[in-house]
Amino acid sequence: MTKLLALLPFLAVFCCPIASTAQAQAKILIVNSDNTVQKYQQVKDAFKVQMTPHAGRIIDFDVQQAGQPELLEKLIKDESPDLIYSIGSQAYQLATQFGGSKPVLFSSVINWQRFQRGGNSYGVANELSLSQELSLLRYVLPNLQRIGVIYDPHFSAERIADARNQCRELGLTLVEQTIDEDHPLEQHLDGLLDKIDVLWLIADPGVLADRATVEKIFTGSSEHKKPVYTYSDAFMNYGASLVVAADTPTMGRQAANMALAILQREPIKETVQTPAGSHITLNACQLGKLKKDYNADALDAVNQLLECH
Amino acid sequence: MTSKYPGILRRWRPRVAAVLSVLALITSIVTAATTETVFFYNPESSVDNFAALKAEFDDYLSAQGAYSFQPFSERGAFETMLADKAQGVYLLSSWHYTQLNAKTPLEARLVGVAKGELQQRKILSSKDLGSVSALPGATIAGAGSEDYLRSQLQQMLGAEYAALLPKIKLLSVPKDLDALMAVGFGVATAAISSESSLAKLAVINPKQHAQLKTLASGEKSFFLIAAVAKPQQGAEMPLLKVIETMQQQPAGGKNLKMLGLDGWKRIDTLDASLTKQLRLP
Repeated sequence: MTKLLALLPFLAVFCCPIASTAQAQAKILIVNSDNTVQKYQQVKDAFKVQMTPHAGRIIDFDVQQAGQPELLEKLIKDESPDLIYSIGSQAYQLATQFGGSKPVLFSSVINWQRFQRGGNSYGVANELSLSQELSLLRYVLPNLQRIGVIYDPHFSAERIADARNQCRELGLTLVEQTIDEDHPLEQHLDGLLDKIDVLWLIADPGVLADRATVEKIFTGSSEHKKPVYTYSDAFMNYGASLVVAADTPTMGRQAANMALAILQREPIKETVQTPAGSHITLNACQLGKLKKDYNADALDAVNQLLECH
Repeated sequence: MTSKYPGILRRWRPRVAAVLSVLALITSIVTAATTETVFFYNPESSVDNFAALKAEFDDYLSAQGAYSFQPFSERGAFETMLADKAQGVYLLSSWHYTQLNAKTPLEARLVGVAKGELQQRKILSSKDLGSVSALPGATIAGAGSEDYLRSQLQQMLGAEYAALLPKIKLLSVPKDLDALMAVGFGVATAAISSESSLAKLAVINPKQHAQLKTLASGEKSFFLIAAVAKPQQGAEMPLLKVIETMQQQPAGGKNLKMLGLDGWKRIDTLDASLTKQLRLP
């Protein structure tokens, strides 16, 4: 036993290079749902830039281009990658279906909670933390303290409970309006808009049921001169004033850091990480029309600035 | 398409094409010679706002003369442009300026001003770590290129803790506030940010701010620098003047805010102790 203990420092010295060699030779398979989707391409590029110096080989598989998902099963059998990085929901589903016990890492999966996850599943979520979302609203539009939110309790009760706490911590007032079949949007929208400074549009399928509803919300907000703060650039065409979303390349870099930790068998505290980077679109033109000010000192944090031209 | 004179067209097509090519070449040379450009690259930020910067600065500069704005996301491309001594003004971080000056001589003419300050200090903040000695295995978030972040970290840790550097993972995020908040929700163990960004966090999220403590701090460095290639031609002076006076107009002031600045100060009006830091080598 004493001899064994005496050997430990030597074992430690020799084990480390073995571990790093294993990492350097690691084979990584990237499964992309669709290479033609720009956001998927961006996240993949950022992952590769961060990962290439540490990986032995990176293999690409594009689900759309391959046409037959079974080809992925064959590829995994033939190549036996050390880790599979899946981009998008379709890629993640296929990677878990054919990946067996291989570690599967995901990103760009909308609402990842709807998928069953095994012990070998890791990822970067697609949605920013509430804390970051609300802090950045406060940063860019500091004069708007009363935040209105419409939600369907069937879908968003938990999220709104979190938001209530976050708003309290940030010194903001959350003005809530629930809607469901018995309490339709039409009955409550004007009443809510009268009481608030800014409308926070969240990803609630009970609220964003169809295009007509979305248009109704934006038209009402514009008539009440209330800006809309939301989570996707898709709402810019409707007249959103501020959008804060997760920054795509940062998600790729986060995924690469997680991949390294998995390959090095480091303990991983959070198996699904919150996106760390934010992407801000500010519609200065719309805010001008609504006669609302924004924090000019926040302009260096803004990715896209829309002016009236 | 059919033509009344197909034979003539076919015979003249190569000649017409050649004349058009020559005309295009002449036009591009003339444009390059008469249009001065502001070249921009900042490794201290990862905010992908190049399209917005290009649109806003082009709008502003073109109203002042035959000027344009060219932002760069890649350090190599920016340095190639500089090595070719393209005519114009270079906006770059003081960290990059100091590094570049050894190989491509530049002369700093203006220094950025933010909230009355010419310089900023980068700090390392953490929620859970008690000291820098606990950094091995940590993920440190920060805004900017990995080169830049590693050099800042190296400076903060000094020789005493230099051996820790290879044991730290870096996560490049778009802006300081992202880095600080990443520590708040556990994606990063520590964050590199400016002191002023930490102060901003205190205003927008006091609880997260209260959880952070400063583990190390770096030396003060200048904000953005406006420089010209050496030897100076003198032709850049009108463009430099346009940049220097941007803060006097609302549109110019707004564009400066997009760079995180309130205005510019001329290098030749600074104290000698400060100027010394920029006249390298």
